[in-house]
Amino acid sequence: MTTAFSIGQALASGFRLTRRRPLQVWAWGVVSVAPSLLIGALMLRVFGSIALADMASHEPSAAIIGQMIQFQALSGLANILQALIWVVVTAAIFRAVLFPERPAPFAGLKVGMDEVRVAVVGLAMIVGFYAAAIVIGLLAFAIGAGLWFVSEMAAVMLGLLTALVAGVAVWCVILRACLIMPASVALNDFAFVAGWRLSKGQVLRLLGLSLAIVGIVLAIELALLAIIAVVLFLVAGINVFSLAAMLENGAPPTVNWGVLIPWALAAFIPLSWLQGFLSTVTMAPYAEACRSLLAQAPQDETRVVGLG
Amino acid sequence: MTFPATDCAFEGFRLTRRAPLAVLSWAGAYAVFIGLMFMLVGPHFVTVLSVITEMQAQGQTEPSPKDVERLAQAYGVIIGWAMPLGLLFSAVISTAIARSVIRPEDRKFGYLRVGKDELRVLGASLLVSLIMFAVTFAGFMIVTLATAGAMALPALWLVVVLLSLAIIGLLIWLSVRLSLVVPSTFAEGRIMLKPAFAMTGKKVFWPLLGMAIIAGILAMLVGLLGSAVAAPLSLMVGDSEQLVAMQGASVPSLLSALGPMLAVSLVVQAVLSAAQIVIMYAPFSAAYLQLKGAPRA
Repeated sequence: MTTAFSIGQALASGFRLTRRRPLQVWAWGVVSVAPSLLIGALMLRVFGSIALADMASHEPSAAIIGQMIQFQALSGLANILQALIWVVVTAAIFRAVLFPERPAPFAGLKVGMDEVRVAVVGLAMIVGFYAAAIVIGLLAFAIGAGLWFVSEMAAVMLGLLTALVAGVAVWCVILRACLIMPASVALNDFAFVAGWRLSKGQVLRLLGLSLAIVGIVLAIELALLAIIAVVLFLVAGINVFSLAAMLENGAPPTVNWGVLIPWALAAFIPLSWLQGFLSTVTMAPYAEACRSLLAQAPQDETRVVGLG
Repeated sequence: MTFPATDCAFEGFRLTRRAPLAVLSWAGAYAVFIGLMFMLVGPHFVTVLSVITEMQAQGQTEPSPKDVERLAQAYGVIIGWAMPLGLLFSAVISTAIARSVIRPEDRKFGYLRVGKDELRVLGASLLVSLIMFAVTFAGFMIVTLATAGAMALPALWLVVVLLSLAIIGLLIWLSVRLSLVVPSTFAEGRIMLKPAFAMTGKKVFWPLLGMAIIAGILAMLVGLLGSAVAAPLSLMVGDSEQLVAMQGASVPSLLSALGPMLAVSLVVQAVLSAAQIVIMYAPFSAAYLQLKGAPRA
């Protein structure tokens, strides 16, 4: 029996989940945006306290260097926090799609074995990707260098061709590996083998799905940017294009904090929801594809434990 | 016979829950070891730093014969202490971890001892290190020869890359095949190089490699989380403005001024090292027990 998942169904799963649990989606957005707010507040605190003359001088003072070091350490911390939050939110989205009937207190956000598995699989994929990229780079260099003295043109072409072919191969591997994360949540184990087997023969569908997700996210972002530009122009008379040109020309923006802070707080609610919505639309389809394939696969194959 | 690799990969966490005081005592041992090393080689480390500082101050890029002599003397003492003590300490800690998994009831002194078991593990570790060194050295020589050939005949660059990849693959294969030497040496009471190699054959190799990768990533995650938790602490005691203001200060005054920061770094480093080493090493003892069909605690 051939197994397959529907790209349309998978794409729709993010929207269905948003309709079913809008508050959860907002909560996911709030926690995702929180580290960015932290970084923003830090930047204001650090750079706001530095005098313009100090910033312009060629030899920064010890105080500025000290503040920069502190800012870098804290922003590194915020980046780690952001990565951890991504793991927690992704696991929550996967659970919401894979086990819709399960109760999900705290918007499904928790730290447990699912989160550990998502983090381990994610890190393994990143390390694997970089290792593959290094090997491909070395092979392309070796082929190019080997042919260089025969024909420079042939060397460059063959080197590029090798990199291209290997790049496509790596992309195929990534597509085949993209169900390992949701499968690990679905099967309650490190489903390296099971997730890999699940996507056998599904590479083209998964490619279509990932391209469609990128397309949808871009379309949503562009539409929203257009809406924001029109609203700003109609409500506040701000022409975003002239504002952008002004900033590019180096005109110092005068900031009225008293006005900006209430506006920023008001904007936080829809923007954080948008972040949650985009995360849901991006991640839920993979969980839906995994759920569909698991439902079709014979029990003995799908319940294979990851490595044991 | 195979074993539940993903289950074994979490043995370090289970061990931390089962014997938290033992893990804390290993962190304490790390702190003592780092402190002891600082006392033994600290002055020589200062010599190295001051030679480098003097060279920088005089705009020297190459050390003078006198500098080389001072550096060689200082490095000689540092390596002379660090090598044997480091090997012995590593053997004590890895034996303690193996003991805590294989003989969990033997919990006296946080599983830490200096006895026959530790000496056997030290011997086995030395043998494994020698084998790995020999293979790495031979591989390096082969790649160097191939690189020399590729300088004359560029078509050989592909051979160089393929050889390098093959040697990396060989080292990974060998590391996995020798990964049960320490737990089996401890459990059997004699150096078990060949039997441990035989134990990690065809069916066991891939699960063992997978287990090692998962354990390595878990250790990385713990390191990442640990540094995130410790960062505010370090920022509190480590006044970066003070550090910048002390540019060019002598090492002793730097050390005395930054005492609290160094103390915090020592504690953080000791705790994180102990946690990471437990997460990395304990799974191999658990895998050994599973492969032997022995019950696990």
